[in-house]
Amino acid sequence: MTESTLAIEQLELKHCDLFRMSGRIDGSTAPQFEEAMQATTNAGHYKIVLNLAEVSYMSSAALRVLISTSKECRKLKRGDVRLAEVNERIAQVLDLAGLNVLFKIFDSEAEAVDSF
Amino acid sequence: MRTRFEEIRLAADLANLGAIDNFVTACCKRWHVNESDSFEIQLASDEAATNIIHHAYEEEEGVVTIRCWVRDGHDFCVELRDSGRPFDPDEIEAPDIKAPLEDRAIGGLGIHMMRKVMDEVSFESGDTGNRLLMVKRSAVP
Repeated sequence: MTESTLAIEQLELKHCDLFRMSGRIDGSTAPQFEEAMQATTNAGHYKIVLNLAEVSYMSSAALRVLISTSKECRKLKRGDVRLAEVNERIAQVLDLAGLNVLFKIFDSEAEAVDSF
Repeated sequence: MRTRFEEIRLAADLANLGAIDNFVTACCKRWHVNESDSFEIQLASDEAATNIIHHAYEEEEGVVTIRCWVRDGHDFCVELRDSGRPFDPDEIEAPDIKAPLEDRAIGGLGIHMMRKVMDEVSFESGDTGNRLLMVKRSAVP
């Protein structure tokens, strides 16, 4: 039996928090993603970069976390969730959900980090 | 006529979503479905299975059966069966995917994506349980 796995590496940078994620974000691993995002916003950090290069799949469960975290970060214009290195499959999912136009997406992690 | 099919029966548990993905992807490979269509079929199957686990069984124990076959030589079919509470995707309101982020509803996205990537999504419920059939036409070369 193959269980879905998700690995999240977090780096607190000077101007933002960078998350390098790898694996599948589906109904079983989305709670782990949500926990990481909530811990960050609860700590008062609202500038977030997600590097999705190694994420092979995102379901609606992952998109719900993306939407709710972004709403939280954009309140009072205190921050944002920005995406970097979005691969073809994840771009396909964002497009299907109509989210591709709502997020700032950068080709490289460095560009996304520098945007804050 | 169904001449050949592939089937898997699994406990309705979120931990099995990865196994469902592997099964559906292997079926797509067997019938030479291209990578983009295969990804979309896997996505629809994952969303459908997640709904069964959350809504049909309401996180309680149960079994989900997934069957894949080819209809009329070219249409890829995936069917999910369960014996939980009937959960008809048609009863879920479609989200407004053009709304700005601030107004985005949190629910309904999974079903929206299922409908968008599959050409047919039909649900029926009877004495033997629930059956969700999804078809991607002309996916099999």
